[in-house]
Amino acid sequence: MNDNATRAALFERLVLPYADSAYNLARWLTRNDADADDVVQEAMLRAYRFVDGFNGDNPRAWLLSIVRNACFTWLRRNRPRDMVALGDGDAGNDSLGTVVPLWSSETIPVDLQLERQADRALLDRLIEAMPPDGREVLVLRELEELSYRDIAEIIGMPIGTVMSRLARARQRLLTDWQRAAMRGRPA
Amino acid sequence: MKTDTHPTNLDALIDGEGTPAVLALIEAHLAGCATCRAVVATKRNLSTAVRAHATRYVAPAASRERWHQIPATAAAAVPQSAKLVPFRPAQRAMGVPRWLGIAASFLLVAVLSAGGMHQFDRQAVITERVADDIVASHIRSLSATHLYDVQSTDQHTVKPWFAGKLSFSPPVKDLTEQGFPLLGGRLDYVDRQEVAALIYRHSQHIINLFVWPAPDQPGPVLTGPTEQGYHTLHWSRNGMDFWAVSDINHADLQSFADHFQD
Repeated sequence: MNDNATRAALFERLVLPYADSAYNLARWLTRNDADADDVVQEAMLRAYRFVDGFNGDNPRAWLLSIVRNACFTWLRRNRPRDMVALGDGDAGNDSLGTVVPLWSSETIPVDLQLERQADRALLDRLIEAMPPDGREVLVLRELEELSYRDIAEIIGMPIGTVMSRLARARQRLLTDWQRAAMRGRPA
Repeated sequence: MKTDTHPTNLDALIDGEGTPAVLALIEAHLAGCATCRAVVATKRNLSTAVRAHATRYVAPAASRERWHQIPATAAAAVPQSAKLVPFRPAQRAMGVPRWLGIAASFLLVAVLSAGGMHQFDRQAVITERVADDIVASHIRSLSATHLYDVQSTDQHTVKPWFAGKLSFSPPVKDLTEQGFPLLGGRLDYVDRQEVAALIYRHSQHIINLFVWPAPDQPGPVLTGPTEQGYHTLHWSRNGMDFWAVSDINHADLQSFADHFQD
């Protein structure tokens, strides 16, 4: 029995399969390739170091919690001005806010097919423009398709906070989208 | 229907989260509220659109290859890492007498007489693992540009900074008058958990004080292992574990620990 061999085996089984998830989250939070690569590198080293202590049931969520923490450490250090918060509150009436179901009109498709490449690029840009605390729950929920419980573990917040942040993030994305659509989208 | 009676947890329905009872309440509301039905429909569309069209980034092949090499590189770089081996005999010979303050020796007698030798050994291994982590973190904090996440000599700035970042609130003290000015704070990892690191200075030397929640077993200040010339001290108080690490001499570090506990 060799500790390094055990650890290497655990790392290969529990961590490496989720490299894309790790990179996806880091890329969305740092917003560029080189920094995402650096942050994931650091997170991978940490994951390797601690993998023998993992005893949960979702190694991907565990890895993402390490990546997430590495990202926020990086953001605080390198992009302090990005660290505005979406805010938690209790969602209050806020989750209704100003959503007007504009997309029931004929000119803007309700099903948001986003067939034009420009529309998809706009969607990416609007998500990137969101404060990091909203962006991370949106990415974890919609792109990584994690449960509220897993997201709560990853970001170290109660499930209620996950829900209200997600509600606000979606609200904000809708508002931004509607604004962009009204600004100049051809019918 | 008045606005303030709309449920605030519509997203739980969209995500299929929440208990059946909660979801049933939302559904019941939706049956009579066109506004909320529209909100749910719109947010569902948004969710679908994001899932279908937002970019899912994929790790570059070169990075992936580098991460695959981590076990091999790490094994080559730290062949004699103390992390997973029990105390080496030389360390034990030096370490044990200093470990045993008078209070601690009573504890040890109690543990031994209860047949707890195995437990004590296990504790020693954990202790060494923690000491290994904090010495590594200490060295990293000095060598990288990452000594602080928050730089402030004001305890009333540093303490609230940790709020929201950690699930616990570390005590932060200004010990300037005692010769240990506070420099700032940082988030770090020790023994697989997120911990608070407080940074103090003593003349030209840096002290890292790591703090995290622990079962409330107040105990005397114990001397931890000395690794690579760095001294470590450990104590527990008010439900927190404290580990101090520095290259200052042992007496000064002990004095720091005493002042911190005052």
